[in-house]
Amino acid sequence: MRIKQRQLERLGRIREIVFGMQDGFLATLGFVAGFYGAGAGHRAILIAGLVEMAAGAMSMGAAEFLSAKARRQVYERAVRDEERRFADEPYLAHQELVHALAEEGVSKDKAYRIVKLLREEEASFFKTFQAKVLGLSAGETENHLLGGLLMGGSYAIGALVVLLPFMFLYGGTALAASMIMSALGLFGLGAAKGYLARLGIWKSGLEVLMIATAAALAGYGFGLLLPEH
Amino acid sequence: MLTLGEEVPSFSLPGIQRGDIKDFRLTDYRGNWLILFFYPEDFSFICPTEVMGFQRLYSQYRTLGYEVLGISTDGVETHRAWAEELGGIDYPLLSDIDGKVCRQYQAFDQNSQRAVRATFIIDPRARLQYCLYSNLNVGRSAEETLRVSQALLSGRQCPADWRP
Repeated sequence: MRIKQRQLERLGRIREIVFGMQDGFLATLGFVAGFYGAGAGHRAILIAGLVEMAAGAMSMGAAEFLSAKARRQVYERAVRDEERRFADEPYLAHQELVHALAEEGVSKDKAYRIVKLLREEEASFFKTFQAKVLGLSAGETENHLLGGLLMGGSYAIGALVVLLPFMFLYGGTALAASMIMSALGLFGLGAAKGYLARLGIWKSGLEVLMIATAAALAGYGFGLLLPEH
Repeated sequence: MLTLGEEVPSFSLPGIQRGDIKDFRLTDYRGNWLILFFYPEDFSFICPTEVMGFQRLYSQYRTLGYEVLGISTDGVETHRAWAEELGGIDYPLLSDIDGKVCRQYQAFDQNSQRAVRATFIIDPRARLQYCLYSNLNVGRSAEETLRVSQALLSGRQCPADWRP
């Protein structure tokens, strides 16, 4: 059971990787496309892109670390509150669990019997109560630092793929190469996500690719609106 | 507004008694003393202690000339399953699904859309003689209601903790 939980936790890390890398692709591509559209020089685009990559990776990593920690703290507070309420009003908690199970389609008499059995084991009852009534899952990842590092690192990798062509090519060629590499990277990311989630690889890959294309075009279009001088 | 000594709102509700489903009307109990108790719901954890409390003392209530009616917002079939779960209930369990009668007796919780814990003792002329509302977390004692029922029949002044 615990092994399964750890496997699920590891798989759950896909969230940080997809989130970070997708953002690294999208934000950086939009950024450099916008700069290019506004008529910025090659060096300015590259330096701004690298700065954006570093700042974005650190910002995303820190945000992931802090937000996950904040969520955990709020979660723990909610659990403590519910533990107190459970101690004060156990019958209400029992009844709420019956209702939650009934809402899931369990017949009321069966739900009642399930809760009747569960309440004999207070710890198991409370865990079930958390999951079914509060919608809180104890199986969430707890290593916030690793989550932050994964998010930031993934962002940097995504951004680097976008910026690589600008290190070897110039002008519209660099942007076109950047777009192609980004498109391939995004498709690959989406496909990998689709594979892990047992969804269609093509569908998942194209979904991410289409969103990325829209973001890049929007960034480029915004850049065209800005004055060159 | 319910007032002691005044006539209580009339009603007709479907219910189940020992497996038989039929309509139960307040007017059917004219001439009898009546315990009307509202409870939040079937398949819960305090209500069965109350429902079973009245079941245990039901024969004593009958001996005194009282009839007992339980009302909740559950459906009749839920009442049936619930009564079976409890090993059988001899007095009728009435179904006030839309809570109309609960509201008439000011025994309806708007938030949960269920009845609250409320007990009414109604005399043979359908006038209210006693009522009790209890917190959702606090179950009522059928024994205490029996004591009050006996006190009402005694026709005497009954101090606190009076016993027949």
